[in-house]
Amino acid sequence: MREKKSIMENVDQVGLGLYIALLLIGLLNVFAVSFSDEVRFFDFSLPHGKQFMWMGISLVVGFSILTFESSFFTKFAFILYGITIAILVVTFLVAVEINGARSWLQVGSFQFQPAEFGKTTTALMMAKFMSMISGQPRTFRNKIIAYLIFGVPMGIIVLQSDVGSALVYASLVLVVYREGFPVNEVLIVVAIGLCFVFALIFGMDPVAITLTIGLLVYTISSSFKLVRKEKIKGTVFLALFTVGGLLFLLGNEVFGLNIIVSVVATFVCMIAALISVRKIKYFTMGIPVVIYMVLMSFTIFGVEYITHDLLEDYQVQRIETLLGMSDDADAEYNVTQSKMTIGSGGVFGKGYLQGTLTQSEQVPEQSTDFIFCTIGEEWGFVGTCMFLMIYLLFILRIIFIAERQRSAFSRVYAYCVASFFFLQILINVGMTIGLIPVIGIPLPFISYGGSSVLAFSILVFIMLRLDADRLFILR
Amino acid sequence: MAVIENLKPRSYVIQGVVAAVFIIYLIRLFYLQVIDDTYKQIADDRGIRKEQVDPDRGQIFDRNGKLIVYNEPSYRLMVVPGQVKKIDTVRFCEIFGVDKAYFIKKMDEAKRFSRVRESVFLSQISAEDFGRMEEYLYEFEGFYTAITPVRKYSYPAAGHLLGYIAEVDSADIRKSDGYYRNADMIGKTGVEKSYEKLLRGTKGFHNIVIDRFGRPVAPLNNGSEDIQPVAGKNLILTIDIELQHYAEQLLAGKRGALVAIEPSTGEILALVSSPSYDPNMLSGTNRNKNFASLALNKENPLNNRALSGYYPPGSTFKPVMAALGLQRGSLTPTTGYSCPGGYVMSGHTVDCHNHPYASNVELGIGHSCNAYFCYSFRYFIEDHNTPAEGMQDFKDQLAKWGIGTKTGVDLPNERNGNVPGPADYDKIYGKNRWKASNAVTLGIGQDRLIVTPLQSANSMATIANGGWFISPHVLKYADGEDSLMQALQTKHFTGIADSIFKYIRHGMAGAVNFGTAKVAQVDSFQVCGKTGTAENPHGRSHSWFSCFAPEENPKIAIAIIVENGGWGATYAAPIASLVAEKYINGFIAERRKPLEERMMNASLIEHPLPPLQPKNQGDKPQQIQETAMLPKQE
Ligand SMILES: [Zn+2]
Repeated sequence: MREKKSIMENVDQVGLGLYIALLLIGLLNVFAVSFSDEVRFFDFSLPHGKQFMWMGISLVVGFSILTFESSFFTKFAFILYGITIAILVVTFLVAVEINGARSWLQVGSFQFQPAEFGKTTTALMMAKFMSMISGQPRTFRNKIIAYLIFGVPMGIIVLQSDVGSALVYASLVLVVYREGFPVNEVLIVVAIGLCFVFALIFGMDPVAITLTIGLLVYTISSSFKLVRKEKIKGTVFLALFTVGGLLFLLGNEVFGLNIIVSVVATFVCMIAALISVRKIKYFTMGIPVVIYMVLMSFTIFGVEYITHDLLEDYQVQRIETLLGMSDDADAEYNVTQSKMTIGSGGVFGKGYLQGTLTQSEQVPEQSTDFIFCTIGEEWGFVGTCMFLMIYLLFILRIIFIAERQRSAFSRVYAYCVASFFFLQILINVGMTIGLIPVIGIPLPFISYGGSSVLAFSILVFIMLRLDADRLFILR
Repeated sequence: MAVIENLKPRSYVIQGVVAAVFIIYLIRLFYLQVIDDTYKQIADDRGIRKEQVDPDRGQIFDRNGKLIVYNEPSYRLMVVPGQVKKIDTVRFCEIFGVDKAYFIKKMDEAKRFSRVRESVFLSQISAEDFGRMEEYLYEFEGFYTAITPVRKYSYPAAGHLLGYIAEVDSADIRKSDGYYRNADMIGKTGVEKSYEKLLRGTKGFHNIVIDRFGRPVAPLNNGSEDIQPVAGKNLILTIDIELQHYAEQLLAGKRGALVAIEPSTGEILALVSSPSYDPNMLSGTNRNKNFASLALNKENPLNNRALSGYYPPGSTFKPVMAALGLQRGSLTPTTGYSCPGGYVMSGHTVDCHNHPYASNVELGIGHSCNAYFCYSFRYFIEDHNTPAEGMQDFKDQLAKWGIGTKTGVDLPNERNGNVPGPADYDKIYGKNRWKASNAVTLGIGQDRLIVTPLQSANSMATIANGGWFISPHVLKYADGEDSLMQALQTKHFTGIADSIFKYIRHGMAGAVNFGTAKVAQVDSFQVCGKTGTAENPHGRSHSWFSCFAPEENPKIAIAIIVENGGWGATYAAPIASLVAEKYINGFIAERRKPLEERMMNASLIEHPLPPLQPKNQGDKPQQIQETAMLPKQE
């Protein structure tokens, strides 16, 4: 009893307060969307009623998490992560298709997105692994594993056609950056990600070629250093890498090779290059090689596959809209309506429950992906300003919490949480104000959706629990 | 702790990135909400809704100006759940003729869809009930009436030819370059499909100012920015709906198809596929149920046999064979071939029936001698350097008749038929290891020669015209579509001299006067025809008849097949001659009335469809459930 009390005393009050503030803002806004004259506040068949119920459940679950031993999370990180991957795969195979994405599982009448809960377990796994290697040299193997920890679930989620959630997982590059991975490598990973996104948008060729040349130049120029030290191995590496790169770039067009043949040949050269530097300390030379191979597989098979099979017509259309590539009124509709709704709020807004565009269901998906419109319309610029400030404070507070940890596990976990929230906001708010493509992901705690609120609450409470132990345990 | 670089600065970088994004977003919001006033002019408590206004779909008339397809309003009761105030449910149910369970179910569904948008509460209301309902509506806020057009057909005929409309599917939407949206209607088959772009018109869009409850208040800017819908074009078709209906009645109870063409213009007068169905079945609310029952029927009534039915032409091909031979010179008008009961080859014999000696081509056609046309085919082929060359020429010549290739009809789903070429025989016998005698039955329309009823009718029109045809078509007139109509008038020449056709016409007249098709004789004009029997490996032979009439200045060319009808003279010839008589004379002579009656009543089908009814009886049971029974007003 005494111990529990002390835990409650050590829970970060500011963080908890901001969390509850966000919950309440969410509830008010979901109510605003479903509001009409006759709607009672406590009607559990309507969205805000269900949302209220889920918030209750989230708080109960959250506070019971505070009673857990924090060692529970370090112990079970592996298992939870393994289960997550298994469920994600199962989801891909058996999922109910909603809005063209196969990312929802149905248990009884309860539908949820495993990708939401997977954020927590992936963060735990990341924390576990990074704490295991903290203090060790950053070997190539360690770095690859770190990237794979969030890369694997991300890949499966992309296959589920849930591009939004996958991008949120990608935010964990911020964590590896914070944990001291070399900046240039992190930037390369980010660059590849960005290239991938741009390739989706613009079509693959120019990007793939630019990036390939860039990587070639980078690797070849830095391998001259290697050649100076390790004459034979360095030369072999340089030769193999160059041949491989050229095969990829020119194999098809210039040498007239079948595209599959040229890819396989490139792969063979690249793997040979990797093996040639295997035992020398210039092993990091291999990183661009591996990246190169992954990129190549993606550009040739991946992008094609994704644009044609994974992105639904409406998604492609939404992306095109943002780039001004389409003047089809229907495709622009979401963004225009959303901007109009926010814009109509003016400086002070129309007042709570007075959002006429909100009330008349002008914006599709307004209780979920476009809930920010409601805030914009009813509370005006003052409201959106305040809201974003609260969220900014919340994220900065999480970073603050992370930085005060003595245990690497807790620090990494908290950074994961901050990264997730940051990207959710970046994407969700960005799309409603027309700055980034329309990608359907919820605004945490604000969007309607029980499983989302619960998942984000669990994410936050585990962090609060770990933080409560900051003074006692060095993990 | 290992010696690592101080990572604190990286934390500041991350915080900086996060803050930068938030600042960018705040600047954007400041612009949207404070500076940009694009949307501020909309009154504070209002919104705009862009509503699609559907144009009226074009009506369809027959060649005599009879209206055959039109739109009839269908009345529906709509509800906007958010506007429904406390109502007296008992009274409501009484007035609108629904029970409480139905009321609760529908309101639930509507609420789940949207509180501020309208949902269908009751559909399929008769015009009469609708009128009475409107008087009560003021008592029930949130309920509205709506009218949607439903396609209606004046005759229970021409279902295959006219086609039907249905809701667009995702493929239609994708292919339409943004024209169609969910729930739009599109022509799926027949004329509705071929002339979809003319019939559909152009959608309109109205910008409507709505209040905070989504209720329309007024048009935006007095409607000055509205786009008005443009109604679809009315079409006049070439068909004679009475003739079409008559032909369908004659073919009722049989599987088969009939195509009637006006030879000089290529205009399709009737195009029947049997079993047929009442086009009203595939319109309105019972569409899905009816569609399923038609699609599952073993007789395959949705298949348009006239355009896509595959049949060997049998003896009806002989006149075409004669034309090919005469033009080539491998056959002369006075060539005679003796017939010892068939065409005798080493190995086996192509049998023939007992008939007088065919001393010239007219008698060859008139007596329908198999041997005669086996010879004609053989000498046609052997008149070339190699059999392969001959066979290729045979195929090429037929292509000019629209056989083995599409005739170019302006209806969807036409099929090619088949004319075998040298490659087909190379495959069976080995390269160049075959000769004309291996394929002689092509001359009598067998082997792998396959035609559709439309192709057969078109070849009759070609003979009637003396060597040319205009692609069969169903569009006669559409306002402002001159170039389209001109394109439908293109003449196709077979390259066969006009002079040759007089022998063929005489021969076909002979077939009717003294040959196999005596039953097709009409007293007041000369029918030129040719019976045929298409052998059917699965059962009784198919009965063919191809003809045109009158012999001079032909007005109609007809091809008909009756599946499992046996000899051509049993069903096909009588029906075709009745259709010709009806079209040319406008009535059936007293002498032939019993024949007419016998044809109409003959049934060759094991799984008959419900009889065709002018009024759509099939709708009734459904209506009792869904339609309001209003208290009678005194
Ligand atoms: Zn004979």
